[in-house]
Amino acid sequence: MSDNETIAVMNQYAGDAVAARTPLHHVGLSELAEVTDNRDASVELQEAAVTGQLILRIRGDLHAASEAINDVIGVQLPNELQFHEVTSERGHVLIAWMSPDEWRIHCGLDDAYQLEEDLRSALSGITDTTMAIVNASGGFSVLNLSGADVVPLLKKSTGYDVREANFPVGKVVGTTFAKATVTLLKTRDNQWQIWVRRSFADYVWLWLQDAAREYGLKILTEE
Amino acid sequence: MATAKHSKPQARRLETGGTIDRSQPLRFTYNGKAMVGYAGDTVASALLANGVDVVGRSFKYARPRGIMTAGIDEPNAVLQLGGTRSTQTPNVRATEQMLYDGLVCSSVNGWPSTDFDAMGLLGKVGGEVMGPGFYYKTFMYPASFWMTYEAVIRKAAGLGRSPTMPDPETYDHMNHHTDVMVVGAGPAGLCAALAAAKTGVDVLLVDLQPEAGGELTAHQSDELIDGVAARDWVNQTLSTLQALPNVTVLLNTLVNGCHDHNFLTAVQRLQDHIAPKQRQSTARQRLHKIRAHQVILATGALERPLVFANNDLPGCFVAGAIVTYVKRYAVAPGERLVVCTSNDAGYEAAMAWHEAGKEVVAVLDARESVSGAAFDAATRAGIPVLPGHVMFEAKGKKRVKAVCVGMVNSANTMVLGSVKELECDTVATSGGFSPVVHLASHTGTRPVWKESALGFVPGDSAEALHTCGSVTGEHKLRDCLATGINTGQTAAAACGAENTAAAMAVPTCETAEVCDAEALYLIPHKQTPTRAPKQFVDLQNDVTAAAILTATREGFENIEHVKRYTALGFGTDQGKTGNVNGLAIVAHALGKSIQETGTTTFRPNYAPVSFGAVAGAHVGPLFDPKRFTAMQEQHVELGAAFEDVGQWKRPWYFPQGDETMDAAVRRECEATRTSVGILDASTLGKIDIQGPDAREFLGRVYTNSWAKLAPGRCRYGLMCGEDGMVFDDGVTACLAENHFHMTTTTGGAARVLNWLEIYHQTDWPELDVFFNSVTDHWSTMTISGPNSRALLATLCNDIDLSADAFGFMDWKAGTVANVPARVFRISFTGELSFEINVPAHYGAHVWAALMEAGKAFGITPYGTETMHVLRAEKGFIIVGQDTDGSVTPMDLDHGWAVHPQKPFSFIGKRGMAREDCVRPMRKQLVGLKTKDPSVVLPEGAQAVELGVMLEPPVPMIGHVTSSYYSMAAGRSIALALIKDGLNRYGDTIAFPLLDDRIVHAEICKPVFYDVNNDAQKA
Repeated sequence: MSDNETIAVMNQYAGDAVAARTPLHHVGLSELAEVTDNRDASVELQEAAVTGQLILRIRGDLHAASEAINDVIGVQLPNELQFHEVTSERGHVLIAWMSPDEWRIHCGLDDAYQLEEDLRSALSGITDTTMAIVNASGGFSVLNLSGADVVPLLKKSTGYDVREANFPVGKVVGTTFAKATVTLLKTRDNQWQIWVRRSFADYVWLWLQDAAREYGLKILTEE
Repeated sequence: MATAKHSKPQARRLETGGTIDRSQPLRFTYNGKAMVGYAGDTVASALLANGVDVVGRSFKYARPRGIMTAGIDEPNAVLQLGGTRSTQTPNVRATEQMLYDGLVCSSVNGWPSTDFDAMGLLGKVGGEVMGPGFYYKTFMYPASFWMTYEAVIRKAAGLGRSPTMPDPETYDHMNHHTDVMVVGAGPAGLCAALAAAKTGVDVLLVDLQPEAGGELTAHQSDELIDGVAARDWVNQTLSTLQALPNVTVLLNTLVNGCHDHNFLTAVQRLQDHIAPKQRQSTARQRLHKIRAHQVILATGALERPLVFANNDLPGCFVAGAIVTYVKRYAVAPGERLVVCTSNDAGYEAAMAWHEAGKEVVAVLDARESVSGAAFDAATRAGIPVLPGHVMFEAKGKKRVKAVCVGMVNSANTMVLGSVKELECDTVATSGGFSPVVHLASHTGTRPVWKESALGFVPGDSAEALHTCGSVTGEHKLRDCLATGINTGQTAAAACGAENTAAAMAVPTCETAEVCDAEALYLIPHKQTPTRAPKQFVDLQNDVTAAAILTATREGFENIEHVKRYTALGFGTDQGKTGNVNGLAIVAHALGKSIQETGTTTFRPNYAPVSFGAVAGAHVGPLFDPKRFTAMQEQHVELGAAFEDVGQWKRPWYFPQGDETMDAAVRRECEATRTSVGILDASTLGKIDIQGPDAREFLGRVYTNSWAKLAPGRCRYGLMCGEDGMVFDDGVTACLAENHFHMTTTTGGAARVLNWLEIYHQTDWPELDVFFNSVTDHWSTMTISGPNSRALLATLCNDIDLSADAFGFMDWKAGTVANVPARVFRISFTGELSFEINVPAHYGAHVWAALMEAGKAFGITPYGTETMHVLRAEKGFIIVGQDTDGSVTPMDLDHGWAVHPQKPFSFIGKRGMAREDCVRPMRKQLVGLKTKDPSVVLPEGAQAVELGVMLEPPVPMIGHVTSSYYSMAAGRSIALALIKDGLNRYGDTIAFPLLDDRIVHAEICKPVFYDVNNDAQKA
C-alpha cells in the first residue's frame, strides 16, 4: 500500500474565507499595539499569525532523510539543538530539531498539506527508515520577543542558560517557562521566539506581562 | 522609661563622622514614639542614636534585651515592621533594616510595653516552668498538664505577628548561570572576583550588605591598601568590577542556601529600604537561583561575644558592633565603656570609643601577657589596660551600671583573688571570630575545628567549592587579599580560563604585629553557673550556660541532642552568636575537645527569608497555568460557570439569568435529550498514532482487540495498568490502515502519552509506530440530541449523514462551516451525536456557525455537569470518578471490552487474573434507585446492609460514585461500587447519612435511559 492509503493525510486549510485565529486572538493584541506604540519599552512582544506546523518524526537513515528533505525545502535536517531557516519559492520555511527523532517545520498555513505530501513522497522510499508527519498547525502560539531586556526577562522565566556562549543565534531548546513547557529559539541578536501550546498561551501571556513590567512592554503587530 | 533621660533628639549621635547623610533626616516611630534618624542609618543605629536601650523582652524569662550586634547575627533586636495590617513584617532584624521616612516598627515580645513588662513578673514563673528540655519533658507527663503549660508558652512566646491581609508587595525569581560565583564582597571576595573576572570568565559577586567591603566598610577602615584608604580601595575595586561586562554584582542579597551541584539561592532586597508608599510596582524582593561552575565562599567571620553573668543586659555589645556604630553610623551608644577581650579585636572598640571622645573605663584582657600594635596603640592613648583580667558579671536592671572584675588564671577557668566593681554603661566583649561555615555545611560537609584560629572552618566539600578570607580562619587583611587573589585564579582556571598568569598582583597593605588570641568562651564566675546570675549563651532562646550543663548532666552528650533539649541555636538567628560558645561549654563539661564535640548541622536557610520571595510571581492568577480551549471567549460571553479539570478551565454549566446550577443542568439535559445540545470537548487528550505497527501496539495497551477495526470505524477501549486496574478510557478511530486517532480523558492525556512512549521505548522498541500529541491542535465540539443530524446538515454538504451511510461509531472527513473537519459519530450522552474536530485556529469560527445555525433548533450549550448526568443515565463510566485505581474491567461489568484471546498479551492481562481480582465479593459497579425517587444520594455515601445495627464497626459494603437527579428517568439515579453488586440486582441496601437520615436504595443495572440504545443509533 502506498502512504496515501495507509495514512489519512488531510488538507486542513480552509482557504482565505475563514480567518485563522491565533491562540491570543482574545487578547486584542493589535489594539494593545496602538496603546503601547509610544511607550518607552525595552521588551517587545508580537504573536505571529497562524503558520503551517508539521511534526516530523524519523527513525533510521537520517543522512538519507536529510538529503531527501533538502530536495523538498532546500535545507538539511538541523543537528541537535539547532534550527535552520530558508526562503524559497515555497516561501519561508523553518525546520527545528526537537529531539533525537523529532523535528518541527514551520511553513505557510496554505502550504502545510502540499509540504506534507511532498515530504512523504520524498521520505517514503528510504531503506530502513520510518517516519511520521502530523499537521499540528493549530496547536501552538508563536511569540516573538525582542528588545534590550529580553535576556533578563528570559532569566526570570526559565532556568535554562541563555547566556550568549550557551545560546547563540540558531539554537533551539525545549525547556520550562514559568510553569509551562515551551520551545525557545534565538532567531537574531536580542530576538527570541517562543512556541507554546495553544492552551497555555494565555498563561504565558499573563506571565510575560507581569515579568516585563519593570522593563516596559510594547506590543508589535506583524509587519 | 529608658528613653526619658535622653529627651534630646538623637542624643547619642556623634557630632561628626559616619557615612550617614545628616542632610536627610528621616522620621520613624518605634513602639508608637516618634523619632528621627538619618539616611544611611539602620533601624538599630537610629534607635541607639535616640537612646533606646530596651528593644524587646526575652523569650522565656521576659528579661529586657538591647541591641547587641550590628548585623545578621543579632539575636535581640528582632522587630515587627509595618504600619498597616497588610504590610506587617515579623522578625525583621533592626541591624539589617535600612531606615526610611515614615518607618513604623515595634518590639515583638514586650506586652504591654517593652520597658515595663507585666510578663517580667510572670516570666520568672514561666522561666522556671520552662527549664531545659521543657518541650520534651512535657510529653512525658500526663497529657492534661499540657493545657497548663501551653497557656504559659502561648503567652510567653510569640516572635512577631503575621499579617492578616494579603501582601500588597510583589516578588519574583531570576535564574543565573555563571562560571564563578563569589559569596561575600569583603576584601577577600572582592579580590577573588576581580582575579577571576580578569581572566575573562563570567563572575557573579553577591553580598548581604548594601555596600561592598565587609568589615572594611563596617569599620570605615583607614588602613592603606595599594596606598589608598581601605574604604576607597573598596569603592575603586567595586567600580572596576561593575564596569566589566562579564561581572554581575548583587548587593543587598542574602545567599540563603548552597544546594547540591553548586546551585545557590539568594534573596535580594530590592525595595525594603524604600518607604512602602514610594516603592515601584516592581518586586520588593527577588529570589535569585544561581547555577555556578565554581563557588568561592568569602563569607567572612562573625565575632563571638563572651559569656558572663547578666551578659544580656542592654548595653552589652559585641566589640565589633561598637566600632561599626561609632565609625559607620556616628553613634556612641553610651558614655563609659568597659571592654573585655581574649584577642586584639577588643582594642579596636576601645580606640573607636576613645577617638569619639568617650571614656574607656578599662580594657580587660584575659591574656596574661599582651603586646603588639593594638595593645601599644591603646596604651599610647592612655586607655587603662588590665592584662589577665576578666569581667565576670554585669550589674544593672535595664542597662549595665557596673561590671565585676577580677583576675583570671592562665587556663581562663577560675577567677582569682579579690574582685572589684567598675562603673560603666556600656560593655564590649570579644571572644574571637567564628568563620561563617554555614553555606559550606549546606553541601553536607562537616566543619573542622582549627585550633590556631579558635574557630570552625569549612571541611572539604564534594562540590567545586573554594574558600578564602576570614572564613578560612585567617583574619589578617594581608592574608584575606592574598587568598582572595589565589582562589579567584584557581576557580577561573577550573572553568577553563587560560590567561590566569596574566592576572593581577596581590594588593599591598600594612602588616601590623598581632598578639595571639586565647581561648575564652564562658568567663568563670566566683560561683558555679547554676548558682551565679544567668550566663546567656543563646540570647534569643534564653539558653544559659547552666541549662547546657543541666542537659549534659541529664545524659545529653551528643551536641545534636543538647541543641534540641535546650533549644540552643533554634531561633530566627540560628544561634549565630551563641553556637560555638555553647559547644565549648558542652565540650568542657564532657571533658572532650571541641572538635570531638562537633557542631550541629547547618541547613538552609542561613537566615530567614520571606515566604513571598520563595513564592515569587507564582501567585494569584499565575499560581498555576489555566488552560483554555479556542472557544474560551465564547464560553465567557455565554456566561459559563467554569470547573477545573486538571489545569483546564471547562464550562461547568451555562446559567441563564439568576438560574441555579440545578435548574441550568436540568434545562441543558432536557434540551439535549429533546433537541440538540453542544459541548466543548476540546480538552480530551488526543494522540495521533502512525506506523505499520500502530494497530498491534493498540492491541497491547488496550484490553480489547484492534486487529480488525476497519478504516472509518471507531472503538471504545479501556487501558489498564500492569495490576489490571482501569486507568484511562476513550474512543480511538482508525483513520487509515496505519493511522489512528486516540482520545483520552482530559486529565489523563499527558500520562497516557507517557505510558505509550515508555512501553514503546522500553518494552517494544521493535514496533514501528509514532505517537504525537494533537490535543491542542484539534478543537472538538460535540453536538448531541435528536436534532444534531439536521443541524449538521445545514453546515455540511459533503458528508452523507444518513444513518445508513454514516453509522454509529463511524467517522468521516468532510467540511463543516467551510472548514475541513473530521466528524466522529460517537456518543457519550446516549443520543444521536456527532463529534466535530477542526484545527483549533478555526474552532471559534465553527462553534459560532453551529450556534447560529442551531438557533432554529434551540441549540443549548451544556457543560461538564450536564455531560455527567447524561452519561450516568446511560451508565457510561468516568475514570477517576467511578473508578479509583482498584477497579478492574470486570468489576465495571465491562468484560465485553476485554479480549484475553488476543495472540499477544496486553497490559493488565496477568494483573486482572490474580487471585484477588477474581475472588467473589469484589466491589462491582451497579446502578442505584432510591426508594424515594426524589432523594438524591450524596456522592461518597457509604452502603450498609439493610437492618444492620448502626453500632461501630458497621460492615461497609460499598459507596456511591456518581449521583444525580435525572430528568429523563424522572427520578434520582446513582452509580455505586457495591460488594458482589452484579449478583444483587433487585436487592435493597441502606445508606446512613451524616444528617442521620437512612436512605434505602435498590441495586439495579446501571442504565436508566434508552436501554436498547435506539437513540444513539438513530
